[in-house]
Order: sequence, then structure tokens, then C-alpha cells
Amino acid sequence: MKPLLEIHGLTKLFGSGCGHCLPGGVSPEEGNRCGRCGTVVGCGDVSLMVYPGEVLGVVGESGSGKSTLVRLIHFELDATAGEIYLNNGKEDAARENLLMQSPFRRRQIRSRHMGIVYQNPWLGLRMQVSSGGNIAEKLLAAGWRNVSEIRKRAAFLLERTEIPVNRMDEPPANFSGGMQQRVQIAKALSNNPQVLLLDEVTTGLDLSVQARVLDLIRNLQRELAVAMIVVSHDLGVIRLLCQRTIVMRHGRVVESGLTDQVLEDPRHEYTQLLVSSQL
Amino acid sequence: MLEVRNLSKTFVIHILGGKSIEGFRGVSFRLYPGEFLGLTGRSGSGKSSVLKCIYGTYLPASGEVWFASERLGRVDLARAGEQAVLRVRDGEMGYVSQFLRVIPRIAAADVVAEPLLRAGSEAGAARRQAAALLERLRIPARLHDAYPSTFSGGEQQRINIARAVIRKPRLLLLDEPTASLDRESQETVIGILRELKEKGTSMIGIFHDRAALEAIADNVLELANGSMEHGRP
Repeated sequence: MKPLLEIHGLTKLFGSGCGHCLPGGVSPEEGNRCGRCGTVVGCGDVSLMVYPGEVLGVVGESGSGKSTLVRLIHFELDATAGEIYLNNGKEDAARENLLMQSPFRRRQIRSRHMGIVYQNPWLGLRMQVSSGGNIAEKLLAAGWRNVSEIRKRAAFLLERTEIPVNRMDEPPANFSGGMQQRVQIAKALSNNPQVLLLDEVTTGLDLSVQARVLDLIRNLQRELAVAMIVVSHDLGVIRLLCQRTIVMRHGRVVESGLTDQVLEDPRHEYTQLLVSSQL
Repeated sequence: MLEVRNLSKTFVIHILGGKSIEGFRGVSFRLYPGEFLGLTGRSGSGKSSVLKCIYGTYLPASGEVWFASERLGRVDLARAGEQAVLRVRDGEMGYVSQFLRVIPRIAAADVVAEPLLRAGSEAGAARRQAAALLERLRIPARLHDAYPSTFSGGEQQRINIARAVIRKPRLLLLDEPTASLDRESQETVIGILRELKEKGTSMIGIFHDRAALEAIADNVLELANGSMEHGRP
């Protein structure tokens, strides 16, 4: 089976770097910040694969580079180095490193083939625009033009994510945190993405609301078989959703494996600490 | 079906200053289609660790785990890579522990039917098959729509077993699957395992209960101080 998403040596440095830390940033032993020039390794030499229909977990404490990784994949940040390939399933398609494509082409790929849900719904939604309008915006970017089709699709997605359709003309600002998260999920799924990126989507929600959002994600995943990258510091979320998991620290991947293996037989010092810190 | 060669496991605990703890060492055996191998030994002798190393939950320190997969051919699970292990787990290799760790907020019958759905069965048929298996395991129909997290230990254990056997895996790893079952339920479980065995499923099992072990095991392997001995049950 061919991987759907392939990432090699993805690196993001914040800062100009110096003779001590270039090209890849300070060594992992020194942490993530160069002692001489202050350049921070947001993401250092990260390589990973996501296979069709698979859910990959990314764990690590705050500041470990999880969100930076997701934002690099979503082209919100410019990578310092690395390669990203998205296999669209066509055998004859040219293999193109997406990081080398024009900003226009990258936006196009993002609009057509990716979806993202942020921890903070303000990042993913326009709060004063109707929920249906939020979804329409994404569909327009993905190339949809027929207004009644767009409205039909928006209604279908909101229903699917358990938002009453009679509220589709209301702006998300009127909604509770859990509902806003579900509108974000509806929007992220509207273009039938090949890859769905979930960045701490249940962090900060009440337990019962969290459960409902997780159940929704799990059901949608099974139904649509969409590949996902799930970023979370909550090992329970990772165990529930992900077949495989990578562990990040100081912007680097320190361990990767089957989720049950990473959680039950962690090898890296940091992973052992993380697993033993669980409540 | 399975050939384990010189399998060893050590745990390196960084919190204890990188201290190395031995799980077991030098375990080798062959398992043929329809054979049941019992693992015995006092607690702490590494029985569960052997099963987890075969299933891939633990990474062996050394050794080989050759599995005759229907889909992938002969494959060393210790080195095969994550995708191969996931594919073998999906339908060919099952694992039952004494603890239920299922997804929360899913009805018992759906928990059991889920492996069938993943294999492409039609939803109604999968649920009917799950319900029949649960009935056989004495989980009454009124509980089929309830969440297993609210069940008793013995009921949870039977859900676990039902989920693992419903797709008739070719290799089944059993870690004290009958530990908290009453005599009758235990006999039902043994009966179900025997049927699977007759259809060619190979099994490796840890049974606390000597009688249960004798009722089903063809051979036993005793782990003691890291070494092993073959024998008859």
C-alpha cells in the first residue's frame, strides 16, 4: 500500500540561525533553542507517513512542536527545509514536493485535499458569518460554484455533525464551544479532504462535550475512512482514535510506533515520563 | 502457523537510571494449525510479556516471530513494520486480555460486531451475529444495547472474548481469558475455543485455572527463571 501523505526531513527554524546551529537547528541534546543566537527549532527533521484511512497520533507536551508540524503540513508556515508529498491515488501523477510549489498551487491543494480543525474555533471559523456561510467559503475555495448545491452540502454536513439545520444561518458566535467545534468539523470535511488535521480539538471542552465531539470524529472516520493526523496531549484521546502514534519533544520525533506499543512499552526516556505522568 | 525463535524481552527503565529489567529470554517454540499451547509459570515469569511480544504491544529485544499470514505470506512480526502488524491484527491475529479496554459509549453488541463491520459485513447481519454470540456467552439480550463499561468483570471478559473470536482469527492469544468467570461461563468459553480450534485456529493461552488448561491445551511451555520447558498438560 502506498502512503497517502509522505513527509521527509521537515524542519522549521524560528530565527535566523548562526554558525553554531545551522543548518538543522541545535542538536536535540541541547534542547530546542540555540544558546548563541536564540533560534528555536519548531520542527526538526520530522519524517512520517500516513496511509489511506489511517489515523496517526502526535503527542508531546506544550511547546514540543505538535502544532507547528500541523501548520507546516497545512502550509500556514513556510518550512525551512523538507519534503511533503500527497499521493492523490492517480498512478501517473507526477510526484511533486509540495513545499517547492507556488503559493497558489499550495493553496489549491489545501482547499481541495485538506481539512483542519483547530483547538480555538476562532482560528477555523468566521464568528460573525453564518455557519452555512463558513462552509460555503470552504466549498467555493475548493471550486464549487452552484449556490443551491453548496447550500445543500452545508445543510447535510451540519446535520451530520449534529447542528440543527434550522440554525445554519446563525453565526458560530451564538453557539456553545462544543457546537463551534462541530461546525469546524463540518467545514473541514466539506471538501471531502484526503487528510484531516485535528489540532487539540477537544482540549478545554467539558468532559461530556468532549465525549460527544470524540464520538462524532470516530463515527465520521469510520464512515468516510478519511486519513487523519490527531494532535493531542491527552493520551486517552490518542488511544481512542489512533492506530499509530509519534511522540515529539523539542520539535523532534523521539519515538514512534503502534499506539498500544508506544503507550505500554515506551522506550524513550521522555515517553516513559509522559506515560507514567498519566492520571 | 507460528514459529518463535529465541525471543527475549528486556525493559530499560529510564526513571530508574536506565536500569534493565528482564521480561524473559530465549523463548522458542512452534505452533501448528489448530494447536493450543498453554503458557505456565509463576507470576512474573514473563508469560504475558511473551504474548504481548507476539502481538506487537511489546517490542522484543531480540528474536524472531514468524507468522504464516494468509495475506502477507510468511512474515517476521518482530521486524515486519507497523503496517504489516496492523494488517495481521486486522482479522488474522486476535488478543484477549483479562481486562476490557473498549471504546467508551458503544453498545455491547456494536463492540462485538465492529470487527465484522471492518471486514465489510452488512450492518444488520453483523449485529445479528454479534447478538447470537453474546447470547451463547450468556449475556442476556437486555444488555446488548448497554455500555460494557457498566458491566461486571465477568460480563466484560465475555464481551472481550466475543469481540476477539467473532472474525475467527487464525491465531488467538489468550491472557487469562476466563479469570473472573463462573464455572458455567468458563465451560461455554472453552467450548467456543474448542470449536475455533477444530476449524484450524491456533492458540497460545495463559490459564490460571489448571482444569481449564487441561481441558484445552495440547502442549504446555513452562517459563521459569527465564528458561523454558516443553511438556504435556
